[in-house]
Amino acid sequence: MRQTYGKQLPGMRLTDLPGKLIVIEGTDGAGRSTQIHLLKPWLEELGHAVLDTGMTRSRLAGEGIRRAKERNNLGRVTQSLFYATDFIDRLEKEIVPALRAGFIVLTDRYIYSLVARAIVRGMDPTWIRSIYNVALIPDAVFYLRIGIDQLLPRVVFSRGFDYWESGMDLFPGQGIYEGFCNYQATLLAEFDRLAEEYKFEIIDASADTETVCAQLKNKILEIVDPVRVPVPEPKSTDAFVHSLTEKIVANLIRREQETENRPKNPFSKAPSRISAPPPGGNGLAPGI
Amino acid sequence: MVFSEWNSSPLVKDTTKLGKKKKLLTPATFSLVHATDFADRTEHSILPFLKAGAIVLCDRYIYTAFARDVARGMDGDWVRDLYGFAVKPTVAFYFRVPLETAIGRLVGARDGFKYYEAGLDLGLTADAEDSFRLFQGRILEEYEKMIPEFGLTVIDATMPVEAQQAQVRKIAQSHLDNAKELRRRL
Repeated sequence: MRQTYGKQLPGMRLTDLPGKLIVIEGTDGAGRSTQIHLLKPWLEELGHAVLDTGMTRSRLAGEGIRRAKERNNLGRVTQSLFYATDFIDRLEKEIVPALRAGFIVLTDRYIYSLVARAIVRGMDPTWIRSIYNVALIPDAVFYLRIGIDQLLPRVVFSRGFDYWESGMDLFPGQGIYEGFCNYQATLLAEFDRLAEEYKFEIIDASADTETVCAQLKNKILEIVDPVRVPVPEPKSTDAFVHSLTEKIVANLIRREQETENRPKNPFSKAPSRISAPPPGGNGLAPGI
Repeated sequence: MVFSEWNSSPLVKDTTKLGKKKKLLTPATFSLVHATDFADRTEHSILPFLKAGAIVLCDRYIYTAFARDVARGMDGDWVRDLYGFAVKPTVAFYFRVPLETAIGRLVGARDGFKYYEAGLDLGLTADAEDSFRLFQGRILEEYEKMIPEFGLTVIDATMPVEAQQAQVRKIAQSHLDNAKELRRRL
């Protein structure tokens, strides 16, 4: 049975949730979404069904938050609760149903970013935690940690400084560069505290994308696959493809064995995790 | 004096409307979207005016949320924590009527009940009026529990409106006199 951080929402059954909930956390620019873009097709190629989700993507509140942020009068308590609405909508409507159907849920941020942002904006830490105590405890939290020094060049050479990522609502009197440094440093300190409290797995996100990805893949394999073939750091494309092929073959053999050994129960309500291969998957027949 | 009405935040109303229209709301998100609305009003319409010394009159307050959300199955402590940022009111009036009187006033006075208003989302019964009756029954039970918990000032709302108004004015006046006295001493 799954656990929450304290309370249970009405109607949310915590049994029969065979999927895996994997959280990628980190401050802005740490490379979370890049990694999720790499991990999702990889997991699908291994035969898993994957749901990826992230902040402000809820049907209920996503658009409302975007519109509210465009205006200049979004208060800090309101902001915290708007994000909580978005999170709980996704938890109830996306994350839990996907876990029930046996999906691997890759989530770009989870409650920790929301807690950190709220605390940095002066919210009572006990108050904000009490709201999120209905969240499911994930199977793993990977914290892509990056210092300000490594983060700055990424921002400069990519999208530039964003109003919210620079905490301009918090430090309106400062320039955007000073705001960015102050805000991200404060956020980083809060993340470090949360990392200890919630036992995050810390990944050095200052390394190159492929190295970080290989580390994540190996750690994720430990969770999703009992038969493990470690993913090497990709020195050459050939070697990488070769190892991936080996991995797929090992998976196929294991799954075939599992299918043979599994007692047939036509009344089982738990759907097969790969009964509907996701688009862009491995192209293999269902059940493989 | 300024007036703040439940569910009226311009920032949040489109989200609430979407949730209600498309029936997207669960007990938890129903609770959260209303708390977000209330937070916006607290930050923009209630706190600044109180700081400026105004009298803020609120049509419904956190107690409405506590009663409804708990009637929907939310944990009472969780909902109370959620509204932990609310300003403690100087006085909170609870206009109390028996369930049958409330239903009698509403049935026929309007063109049917709305989905969430009747608690149809709880699936207690398919009939809107029956569902409303069951749901309101639960809500009234919650209000009764809150009278001692929050020291709500109960007004018998079966009395003539003028009699209710006279009582409310008398009580409100005593609080205003106190405030004036305090200000004079400062």
